[in-house]
Amino acid sequence: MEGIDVNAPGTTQLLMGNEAIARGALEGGVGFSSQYPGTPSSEILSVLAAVAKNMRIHTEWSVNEMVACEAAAGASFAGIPALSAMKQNGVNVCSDFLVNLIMTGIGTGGLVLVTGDDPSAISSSNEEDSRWICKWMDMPLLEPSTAQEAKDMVKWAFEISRLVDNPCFVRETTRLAHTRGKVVLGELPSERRTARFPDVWDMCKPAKSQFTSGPFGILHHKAHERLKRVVPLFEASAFNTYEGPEEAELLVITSGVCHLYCQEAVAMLGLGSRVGIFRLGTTWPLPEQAVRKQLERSSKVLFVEEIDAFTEGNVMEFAASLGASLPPKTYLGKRSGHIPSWGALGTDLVAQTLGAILNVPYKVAGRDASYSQGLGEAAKMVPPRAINLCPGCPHRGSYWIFKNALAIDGRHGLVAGDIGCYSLGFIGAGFFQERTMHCMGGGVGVANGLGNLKEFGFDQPVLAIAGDSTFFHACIPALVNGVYNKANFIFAILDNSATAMTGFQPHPGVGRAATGDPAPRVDMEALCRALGARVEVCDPFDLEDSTRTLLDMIADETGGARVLIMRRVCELVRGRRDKARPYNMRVNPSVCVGDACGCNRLCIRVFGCPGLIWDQEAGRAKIDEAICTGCGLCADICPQKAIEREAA
Amino acid sequence: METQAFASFRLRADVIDRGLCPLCGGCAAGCPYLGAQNGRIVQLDCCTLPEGSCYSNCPRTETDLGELSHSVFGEPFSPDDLGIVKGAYLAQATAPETRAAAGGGGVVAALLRFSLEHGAIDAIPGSGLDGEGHEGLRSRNLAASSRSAGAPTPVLLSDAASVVAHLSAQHRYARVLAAFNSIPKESSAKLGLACLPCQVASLRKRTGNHTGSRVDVRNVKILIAEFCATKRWLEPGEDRQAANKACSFCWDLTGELADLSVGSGRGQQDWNTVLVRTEGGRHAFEAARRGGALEAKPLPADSLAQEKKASRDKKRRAVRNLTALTGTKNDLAYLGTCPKVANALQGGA
Repeated sequence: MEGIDVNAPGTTQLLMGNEAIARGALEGGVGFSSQYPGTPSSEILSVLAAVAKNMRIHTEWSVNEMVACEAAAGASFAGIPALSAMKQNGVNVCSDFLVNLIMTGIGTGGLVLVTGDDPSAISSSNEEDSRWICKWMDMPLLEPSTAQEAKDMVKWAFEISRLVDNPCFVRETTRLAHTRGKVVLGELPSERRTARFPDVWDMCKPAKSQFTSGPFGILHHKAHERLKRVVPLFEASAFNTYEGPEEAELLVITSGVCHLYCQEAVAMLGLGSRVGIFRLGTTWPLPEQAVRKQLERSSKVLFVEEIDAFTEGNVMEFAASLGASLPPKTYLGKRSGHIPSWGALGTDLVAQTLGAILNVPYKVAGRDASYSQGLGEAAKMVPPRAINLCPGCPHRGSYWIFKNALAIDGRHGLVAGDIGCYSLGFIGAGFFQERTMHCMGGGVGVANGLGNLKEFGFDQPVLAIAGDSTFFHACIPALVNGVYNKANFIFAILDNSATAMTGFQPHPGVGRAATGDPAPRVDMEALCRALGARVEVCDPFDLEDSTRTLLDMIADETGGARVLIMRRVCELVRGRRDKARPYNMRVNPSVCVGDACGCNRLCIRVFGCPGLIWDQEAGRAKIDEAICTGCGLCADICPQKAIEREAA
Repeated sequence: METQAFASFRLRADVIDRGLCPLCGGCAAGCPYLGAQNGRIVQLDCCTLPEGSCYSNCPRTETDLGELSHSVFGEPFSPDDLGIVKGAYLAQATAPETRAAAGGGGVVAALLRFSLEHGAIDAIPGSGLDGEGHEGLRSRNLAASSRSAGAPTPVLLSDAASVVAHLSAQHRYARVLAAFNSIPKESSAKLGLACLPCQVASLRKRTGNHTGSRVDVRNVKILIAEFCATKRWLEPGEDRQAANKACSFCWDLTGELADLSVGSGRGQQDWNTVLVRTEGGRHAFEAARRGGALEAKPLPADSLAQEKKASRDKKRRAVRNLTALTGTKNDLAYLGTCPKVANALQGGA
């Protein structure tokens, strides 16, 4: 199959939602793309980076979403179409810039912001509907339902952005981001723009030459006004569709992938003649006249959308503004409890809801009592598996060290956690050590508070943790704050040399750019030392030495914030690089005494590496050859020294 | 649903949190869930065993002194102030350098060295210091990972030349039980130990309980108790105040469950008080005497009276403190509610 940079209009490719978005960006003439990785949107930049050289565009993994957004805006100021993608949390991170950007406008380039929202928080620390920011900040919002629409809408979004002189927002959700669909390609632009920041006194080219957010009163008003420019386009948009009878018993208003659930549910229940589906592709600003036309079809309206009641609220607000001119209606959705106000939706759920409202039994062919019974039996056959860190994960060693050191210290010390693979520290995978976990950089921030409570009798050691990528993303200001305000905490950077959780994207500490080219390596150790913090570097697999160092740092309360870098490359990165195990591991059956050990299966039950299993027949621990990565750590935790490592 | 009372949690609730832990080190040595650090026993993980040697071997969990006395001496628990004593002596090492190293009579070092040299025992579990190059007997416990340079580490002495220095060091009790626990289960080496009365109790509680991975306690051929004194030092950074508080609940000054008990000579410089309690103890003591490693004379009556008074005072203080702890006159906490034991601890009164 051709790459997404092929210029073959009319041909079809099978693209993942994120790939389709990248293709749409190329068709829209994107010249600059910046992103911080975050599931479910990470692939957008990966895909663009892969074709960056061929397309002669700039792609970068930025240090965080705010910088990514600012960088993209800079390109747009200079006339280059720019795209910045993020997940819902990233929208929060860049919101302070955005709230100012909508005052200044975005110049002539065009700026598209794509957010991948994660209903049910499958890969997130929170569930959040990022669409609200569009209403807050006067940004047009598009919601694709399919990969084809994702591509087409992103291309269109550049034009919209230039029209309203503000960023245009495109919101996908996890299911669209990661499923594939057929996409008919459009044409790649042949024109190449030149970047130039407009000159102040160039009267011949009266382009805007200042992007400064003041005087804010006037600019805020102008932002409201600029948004209105898009209304005619949205009212006439083919992305807003209706299917169903002229007059419907029930009108469903939906957007995004929920459109597909609604179509499928109506078909399954045979309700095509009773239910109408109005799909909004241009969600904000609400195309009021188009909406009014649809509202007149039915006296009963059901809203189906993920996650919050965004469109539901907007439509009801609009309906209220119409007063008596709109006949009274029954509005069903999240407010009425017919649709859950959290979590991902699905066809089953929508079908059940439609069935309940219209009194149609929801029955799926082939799903009888034996189906449920079969499901139950199948469930029993699946071995129970706890959510866990990967075999060989350095974080397991780090958490083992934290657990032991804090227990040995004995003052009920705690780990203030952060966002990354190591977020699993709040469950057994991290021995339940993580006691706070919020946003990126939140752990070290919280530690600043806990670390300055001595006057109130607080003597618990505070250990903030964050990954290496998270360190660059959001931790540096809080660390500076800790040094400056003499907060008593240890900040452990779990440096596995990758943004592992989102797919091993490089970051400023690894010496490689998004395109794979060599890049300057930012030395986090030197950076922390330059702040004046005590810095120690340890190996999470050297349990003895690292525990001793951590205890020493805990005892040293004179220096305020201290930094402990737990450095070992992510096992998955190492495995790909080395293609071989460092050790061949075995449990020596003559040394392992099984349950006679008295340790009550510490190796399996507490340490919990998936590569260690229990041989029921032999009554001994055993290495699972298929899973073990040969990291060797378990040899150091076996009370009997029965686990042996042999250099591979 | 009733919550399962896991052994290590019960240990924490019944012993550590009650302030009874004397830091003998028996529980932490070899258990991956417990560690000894900074003068405390710490729980590193949740062990879900309902029964565990940490609990059953602890000298401050339920202890039936009558049963222990039967298993060691074949006799009921003695109401005598010093327990069962078959001979009381003043003794000293004949070698002046041993006495000089020990800072007293040097009996323990001389006796165990003689026993080692003459094959009565093969090895002595003891404590060395980290950094002295003792390979092979590093503590299996991860708590050892926190040790600072110069912290005690378990060693197994089989070289006679090193015995005196080791058994004279201040840290000689610290890792004795860890060293014992580290000996492979299948080992048949005959062992000699010198330790504190609480450590003696921990070892004696293992008699008849040989499950698990520990070496059989019956391999211990000579068990010497050193009178508990202020020189005790079990852990670096030990919380002396907490330890002293825990020791105020201890009934046993002289190590009444040992084969031999050895104390300072009570004003007799270069001499030790020696109480012979078992036939095994007598045999070892006499062999060392005959072999010229020790010389001995009967313990003067006034010294014996002093020892008795000190021991009696400790027992009565323990009974007083334990009844205050439980709030019940007949309940001696870890020593149970048996009136016979209570009477015996108070001199049969």
